[in-house]
Formats: sequence, C-alpha cells, structure tokens
Amino acid sequence: MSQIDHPMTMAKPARASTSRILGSLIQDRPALAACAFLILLAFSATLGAALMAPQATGVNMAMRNAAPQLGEGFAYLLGGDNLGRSVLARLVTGARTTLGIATAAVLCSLTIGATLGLFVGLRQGLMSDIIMRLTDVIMSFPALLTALIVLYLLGPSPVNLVIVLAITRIPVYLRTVRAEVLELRRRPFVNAARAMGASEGWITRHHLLPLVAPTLLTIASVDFAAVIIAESGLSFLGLGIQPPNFTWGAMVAAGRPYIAQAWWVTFFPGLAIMLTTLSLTLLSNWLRLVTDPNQRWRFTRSEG
Amino acid sequence: MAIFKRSLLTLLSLVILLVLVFFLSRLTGDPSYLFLPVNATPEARAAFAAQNGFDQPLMVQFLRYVGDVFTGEFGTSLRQQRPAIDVALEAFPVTLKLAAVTLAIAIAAAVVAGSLAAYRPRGLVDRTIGVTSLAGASAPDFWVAITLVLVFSVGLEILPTSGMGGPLTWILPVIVLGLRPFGLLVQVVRGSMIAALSAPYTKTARSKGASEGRVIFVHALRNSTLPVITVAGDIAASLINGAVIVETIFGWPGIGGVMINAILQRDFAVIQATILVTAIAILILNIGIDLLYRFLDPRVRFA
Amino acid sequence: MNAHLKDNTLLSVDGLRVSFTSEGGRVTAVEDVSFEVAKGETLVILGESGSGKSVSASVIMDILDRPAGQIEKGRVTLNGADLLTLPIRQRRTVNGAKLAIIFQDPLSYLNPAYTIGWQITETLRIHGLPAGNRAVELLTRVGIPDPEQRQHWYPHQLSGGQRQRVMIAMALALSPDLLIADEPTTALDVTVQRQILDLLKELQAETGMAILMITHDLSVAARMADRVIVMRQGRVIETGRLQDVAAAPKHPYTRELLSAIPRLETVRRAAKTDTAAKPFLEVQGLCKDYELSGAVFGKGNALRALDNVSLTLAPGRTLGVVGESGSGKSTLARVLMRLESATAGRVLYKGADALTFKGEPLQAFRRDVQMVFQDPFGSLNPTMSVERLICEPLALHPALMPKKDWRNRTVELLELVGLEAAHLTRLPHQFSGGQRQRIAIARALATNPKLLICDEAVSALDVSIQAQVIELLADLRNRLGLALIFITHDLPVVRSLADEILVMKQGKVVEAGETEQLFTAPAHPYTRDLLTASAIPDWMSQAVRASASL
Repeated sequence: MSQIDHPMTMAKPARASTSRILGSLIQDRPALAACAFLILLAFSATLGAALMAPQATGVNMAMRNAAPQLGEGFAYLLGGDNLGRSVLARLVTGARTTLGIATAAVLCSLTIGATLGLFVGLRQGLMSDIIMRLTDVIMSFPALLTALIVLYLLGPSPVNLVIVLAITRIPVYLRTVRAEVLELRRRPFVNAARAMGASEGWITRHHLLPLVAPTLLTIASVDFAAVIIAESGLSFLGLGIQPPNFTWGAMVAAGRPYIAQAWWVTFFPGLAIMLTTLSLTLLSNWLRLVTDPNQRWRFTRSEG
Repeated sequence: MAIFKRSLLTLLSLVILLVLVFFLSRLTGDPSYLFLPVNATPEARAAFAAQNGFDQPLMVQFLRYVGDVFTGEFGTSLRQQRPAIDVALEAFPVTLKLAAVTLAIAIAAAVVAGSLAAYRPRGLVDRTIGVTSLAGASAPDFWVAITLVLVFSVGLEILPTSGMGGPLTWILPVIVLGLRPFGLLVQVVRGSMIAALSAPYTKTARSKGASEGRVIFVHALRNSTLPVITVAGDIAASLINGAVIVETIFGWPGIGGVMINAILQRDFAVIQATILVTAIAILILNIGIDLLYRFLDPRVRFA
Repeated sequence: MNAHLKDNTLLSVDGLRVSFTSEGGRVTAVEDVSFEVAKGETLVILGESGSGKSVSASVIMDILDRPAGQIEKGRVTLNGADLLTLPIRQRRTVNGAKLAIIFQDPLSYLNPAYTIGWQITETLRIHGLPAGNRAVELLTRVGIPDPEQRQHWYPHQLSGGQRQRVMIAMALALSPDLLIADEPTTALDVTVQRQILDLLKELQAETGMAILMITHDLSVAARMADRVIVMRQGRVIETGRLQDVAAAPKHPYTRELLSAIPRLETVRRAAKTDTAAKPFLEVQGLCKDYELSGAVFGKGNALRALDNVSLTLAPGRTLGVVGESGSGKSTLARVLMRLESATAGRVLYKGADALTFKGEPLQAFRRDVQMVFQDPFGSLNPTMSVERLICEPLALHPALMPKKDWRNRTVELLELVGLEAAHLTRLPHQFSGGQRQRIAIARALATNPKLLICDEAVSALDVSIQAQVIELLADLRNRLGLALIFITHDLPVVRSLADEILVMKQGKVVEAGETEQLFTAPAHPYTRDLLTASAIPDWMSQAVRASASL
C-alpha cells in the first residue's frame, strides 16, 4: 500500500482537509475557472434573472436583429433577437429555466437513483432483480428517443420534461451506488461494524453513505451537463420547453430562421450551453481527483 | 451465456418499450387523435376507431397490437400513404451508413489522439488534447451544426448547407455527429493506455528484452482495447440520439429525421415502426460487441 | 573499477542513488547502495517495506518507474560492462539473455491477454531464436503437469503457485547468468513457498546461475542465502555471510530484526494460564457449506468450507488456529462472530447456543466477543477519526456507559495499546500499519470483551512490527484475563502466543493439541510439512540467541 508509510515514522499531524482541497483547486487552473464561471452562472440565474426579466420579454421593434453593440446600458451587448429583445437579458433569464429544469431533474434522479441503488446493493432478491432489469431496459435504448416518444405521448410541459430527463438518468446513479455498496460491503470495516453489533441501518448511515457521497457528487456534476445537453436538444426539436417559457436550447431554435441576418441570436445561447457543460465536466474531473485516494497516491508509488 | 443474457435483455426492453407505447397511446386519450389528421371529422374518427378495433376492450386491442408488431404491420403512414414499416426500413440504411462512417473516423482519431496524450501524461500535448476533446464533447450538437453551416456554407460557401449526396455533403454531418463520441473515446483511450503502459506486465516484457515498440503495441495496446470497445458499444447506440438532430438539421432521409418528422406531423404509425427498427438494430449491435469482447478478452472467454 | 574487479564477480552495484517525485517533492528511495553478486552465488537482500530493496532490482533490470523515479548517481556493471550508459536497444538485449526477474504477484505481472506458452516463448522470439517445443520443455522442467495442454492456458486459469512456476519458466528460457527474485513467495502458502524455493535451488544447481533474492522473510533468507545484505530506509546497513550476520549483527536495526525470533519464543513463557478453569466456549461439529453456482459446477454442488470442527476454550486461554489458504480458518472466525450462518453444529457460549441468539442475548454476545481483522488498512473506516472509531462500539452498546464517559474511556484504551490522547482527532491514513492495528485492538477492547478473535491480525505487518503487536496482545491478555482465538497461517508466530493449537486443512481439523507438544512431536504429516516449511533453521535461532544473550 503506502510505501512511504514506514513503521518507524510517527503519525503525521492532521491537516485541515478543507484548506487542502481549496489548495488543490487553486493549483488546478481549469477547474478554478470552471468554478468561477459556475458561481457567476448561479448569480445570473437567481439575482440577474429577477433584475433582467423586463428586458428579456420587452418587444422593441427598433432593435430587431440588432447587432451586438455598446450603449443602452449594455442591454444589446450581445445583440437583439427578431423581436428586438436583448439577447443578453434573455440569456440571463433563460439561465434560470435551463438550470432550474436541470437541477430538478438531477435532484430527482440522484435521490431516486441513490435510494434504489442502496436498496439493490443491500438486499438481494426478486425486487432487486426487477429493479436491475428495468434499469437495463432504460439503458438499452437511446435516451433522446425515449424522451422524444414519451414527451410526444404525454405532451411537453416543464414537469413532464423533468420526469423524462430524470428517468433516463436514474440508471447511472443506481448502478454506481449499487456497485459501490457491493464493493464497500465486502470491505473489512463493514464486517468489523457488523461484528460489533451494528444494524444494517447503522452501517448504511455511518459506513456506506459517507463513502458513496463523494462519488455521487462527482456523477451529479457530469450528469448536470448531460441533462442540460439533453434538455436543450429536446427544446431545440420543439418537444421541450414551450413558449412563452424558454431555455437556451429553445433560444437556439428560435434564432435559427434568422441565422443569415443575426448569427448572434443562436451563437451566444449555444456558447452558454457549451461553457456550462464544459465547466461542469472540468469540475467533476477535479472532484474525482480530490475524492479518490487512489488517484492521490498515484505519483508516490515506490515499492521498497 | 453472456450473449444470450444480453440479447434477452435487449429483447425484453424492446417488448417493454412497445407495451409502454401501446398503453401510453391508449391511455392518454382517443388514439384516433394520434393516427388521424387533427382536422378529421367526428364521423371519420368513429369509422377509424371501428375499423382499427379501438372500440374493443383494452386486452383485445393489446393482443391485436402484439400480433401486428410480430408481423411488422404498423398501419399506413398518413403522409406518405404507404406501409409505415416500409418508410422505416427505407430510412434505416442511411442512418446506418452515417453512423458507421462516423464511428470509424471517431475511433481512429481517438486512438491516435488518446495514445499521443497518454505518452506523456500531463504534458502539453495531453493538456491540449484534453481540453479540445472536452470542449467538443460539451458542445450541444445542434448548435455546432448550425454554427458550422453558418461558417462553411453561408459564409465561406465551400460546403453544401444540407442534403445527402457526394462526399462534400458528408463532411459536416460526420463532424457534428462524431464530436461527442470522439471526445468520450479520447478520454477512454488515454486512460486505458496509461493504465496499460504502467501495468506490471509491461515490466515483465521489458525485463524479457522487449523493445519499447513491442511493449506498447503487443502488450499494452491489446489490453487497452477492451474498455474502448465497451465504450464504443455504448456510443454506437447513442449515435442514434445524435442522428435525430443531425439528420433534422442537414435534411438527411435517415431514421432519425424520419422519426422527428413523423412526430412533428403526428404520423403515429411511422413512429412505432421506427422504434422497432431502431431497437432491433441496437439489439444486433449489442450482440456484436459481446462477441468481439469475448474474442479479445480470455478472462471473459474462459470465465 | 575493472582493475579491482574480482574474477568471479558477475554483477556489481556501486554508489547507487535513486529518488522519486512524490506529493511532497523528491524523496530519496535508495542512497549510496553498493553490493556485488558473484557467479553462481545467492545474495539475499533483506529489508522491510520502504527499505529500497525492490527499487535496486528495478534499476538493475532497467524497469524503474519513469519519470517519477530517477537514477541520480552510481554504476551498475555486469561482467564488467556498464549497464546504465548503454543505449536502450543494446541495454534491452541484456534483459532476458543475461538477466531475468520474477516478481511477487505473478497474476499482474503476466499479461492477461496471452497464453502462458506464448509468453514463455516470447523471450526466445525477442532474441531471434526459434521457439520450437521450448514452452513444453520449460513448463515440464518447472513442474507444471500436463504442459502440452496447459501451454495454451491463460494466466488467470492457473493457481498462484503455478503462475510463479510459469514466471520462472519464462525467466529461465535463455538460461540467464543472474536471476533476480523479488519477494517471489510472499503471496504464497508456506508449503507452496517451500516448493518454489526448492525449485529455484535445484535450477540454480543445474544451470549455475546466480540468484539475487529480495525478501523481508528471515526464513526465506535462511533457506536461500550464501550472503546477505540488510537494507533499511534506502541504505545498506549490514553485509556479510548470513551465519556471521546472524551471530554478530553490527547494526542495531539488524539486531532488532533478528531479535524477533527469540522474542517471539519468550512471550509465551510470561503467560499465566489457568488450566483448571472450565471452558466457556464449546464448538461442536460446526459445518459450513457454500453453494457453488455456475455452469462449470452445475447446480446443487456445495463447497464444504468447515467440516465437523469442534473446539473448547476456557477463560484466559489462547487457542491458535493454523492453516493455509482454503483451510476454512477464516470461515471459522466469521461463523463464530455470527457474520455468517452455519450449516450444522453448535457454538455453546456459557452453555447456550450462540448460533440461535437473537435480540438482547445476541447484543450481549457481541459485547463479549470481539474481533481484530487481518487488514489494518481496510478494517478502519477511512473517513472516521480515531475517537469516532473507538467510540463506535460504545455507541452501539449504549447500556455500557453514559456518553460523557466515552472520552475518558477512549483515552484509556489508546494508552492501553500504546498510543496517546493526541491521536484522537487523526484519521486512519495518518498512521502506520502497526499503529492502525493498535487502534483496531483498542476498538475491540472498548466493550470489555471476554473473547478476542484475531484473524491473521499480524500477517500484513513487517516482522519487527509483528513482534510488537504480538507482545501487546500477550500483555493485554494477561492483564485483562482475555481469552484469545488467534488465527494465522504462520506457525512460528502462533507458537509464542498460544496454549493450544488447532491445525486445519480443507475445512477439517487435522491435529489439535498443546502448543509445545505439537511443535516438538507433530502427529499428522501435514503438520510436519507446515513446520518444516516455515521453520527458521536451528543453527540460525541458536546463533541469534547466542548473540542476543551477549
């Protein structure tokens, strides 16, 4: 295992783990930038969206397809759309819907997936078999197609959209949690707890969840990106969010007929999606590195 | 054993999907709204219901539906006035060709880029390839498609905006469809190549006197292909996702474009037929991947 | 260099320094290491983990982990030719032909994707020689049965001992002048260990090759060595003929390492055992079957892991359970701990069958019977501080004491096992293996148990640390009046601790008896095998004892 861990050396004093994690974030420039962008995004989706709602919906025919420009209080910094609405304001308000739907979907699939994963990992039996086969079913068919068909049959609404996105993502959490629980249950410290008289509930609370949580966080951040991409694809195809609500994906679709005259109407929402998903992926890569002890020890291998 | 199990599972998922489609279409209202044009008269609807047995009990309808599915009888396409299954089967080869070409190019590019990145982990090449492939995988495909059309077709006027035909018409669709698979595969190739290159058995090979070339290409590569194949299998299935978008934007007559059009035109018979054709294609693909995997990994073969 | 090179010197390492890049900067793994290997001799490098012994082997074979590891200084010459300055192409032609190596863990050192026959003959192909029927010849030579068939097998289809034989066949394909054996038997059962070492000796006698054996195991060193060098923290601290080193160790660390032998034997003498006490634990006819599933075995087949095992244990007594892998010794522990159900039999604890306990009696049983696991890295939850770890049994048995007393109890326990209150807030990864095992022992003692089951509790530790933990266990047993069930594969270890010993093989008890009687007059042939396979030669323990008493 750890070879620098010589029997004669004394235990090192405890280092504050939060400062260690922050230190590694500052060293990892891409992850730091991603973090900053996501914080900015969170502010846009909450404060910014509340402030800019009037500009986002206010029709102003004078600014129809206006090119990006300074002036007017930077409202048309990213140009105007076919009804003269500020693209910047719509991006900021669109962030709320886009991130709201994604957050709801991620929370749903995380909660349901993790709970089912725990159940399946802890109890072998008919019920677990059925759950596993159902996830196989969901996994074996392209997610976008499943979502398209279900939305077509149920009708596109924000709630249905969240349900569909959540269902297609549940298997990811379920399988990961199940695999981790099965692996952790074989670990000696779980047996040690059982030998001390711990119940299954105690073991789950004290020995399984704290160790599964970092993995869940890592998947959730990648998953957030995947959900945003899926939602924007559905909205682009017209089966996602319906007017007057809009997300970034719907903005790209709305600007598409005017692309030759006003490229900025489609370009910036797409760029926003890309930067968001890229940030989330970078963040999750970093999370995986700091939460995985195997990765941390990788560069200190020196078998004596 | 594993192949059998996997095929059975995919078959099961197919059945569940069809059952789901049946019940959702029946339970969400009058199915004639799904099959007939929106402006059809009430008389026409009643006649349609009687003709298709929608006035029968649900169980009877279901058995009939199952029979229809097994005989490939999905009804007639409203728009095209011919059997829906023909519409789906005609469109399928287009998607298959697009997916095959894209996957081949994406794998080849990813193996090259991933190996280069793995050669010096954390070096400049690795970082560049890492960020580029991540950006590619993070970009929404419909937006990349529109932007590329804007630049190369509208702006530079060197590539056609849409349509399927000569080699030039393939360039943009393949790039758009291949971007995400490429991004994912680069990461997998890089990771498995790094793992294989630092695996203990490469030390054994070196201590036998093997050259670095032999260590990389005979010992490491063989083992690093396994995760790549697994992921490539998942990607092949999800290419159908991308095909829906790409075929819509570039106006290709593939199964994805057909399905979206059918959904937008409420041509329910065609939707059902495309679901079945797609599902069967994925079933066959899964079996193929399993066979390949067993061929390459003796631990699975002799498990 | 060549000027004073002795005629029979094969390999010489001179002033070697190797450093590794790690989280905290560069760490020197090997510093000023020099030694020579003569033609046909066996040199043993003896050292514990972190001593730099494997790093030296990597440098000789040119398989150092780069770029993390860097050779900063030194020369390595083979037959007078400098190996470190050779261009890589020429350097590689030496490997396989003149130098060969076998490793501790053959499963990961064999390529999983190719057959063993292919991997054995690869050495020949690399050096431009015809493969012919050499794979079968070599497999026959190293004692693989049915080689015609097995050359087409893959590594994962063989047992651990067979895989090591394949590694040896591979290494010997071109009759090298020097074979480096890096802990080649550490992962194997003692009887298999013995066979592999004997095979190496035979092959050495046949081919006249030199062997550079790297080990942490004194009994391996004693069996193999002509000369020995002792390494510690990257430096050579002792060199000489094994007899001389054993009789008169110069460095304090060598003395400590060697003293593990006499010290282990004296521990038991200190133990007070009350043979008159009535047994409180009686195991009667315990059986455990595992269902085997899968197409290969068909349905309904079962593996009998425990076959009619019976034993008794009185308060304060220590029972050693000895067996190799697959003997069922760990299954016995798990069934006794109620971690697994039994197929048949009874475990009478204070007269009642513990296997049927439920509710409060089961909780009381769990308070009284605690366990220390083999792996000190795995048996402590890595996210919990020492205080939370030791408090866990107190929290699980709230009737024991009020919450306000937990802190005092924890400190008391830590001091009992030789740690201090300052360690309370630390996490397991901040401790060494021996310290972790002390934490695990403190945790097991928290509920004031009557019986402590130790399942291979010292196997994962270095020799010198093993002795310390065993002394601790003996001391605690004597002070607290604990009964111990000490499960191990290592006979010498258990001799120092146990009053009685149970030898297990394939689920059955093959021999049981008082410790001294079993060691001096083993009745069963398997016990004799075990004893001879793991014994430190008498001359060595005598030499060590003589030097220790000086």
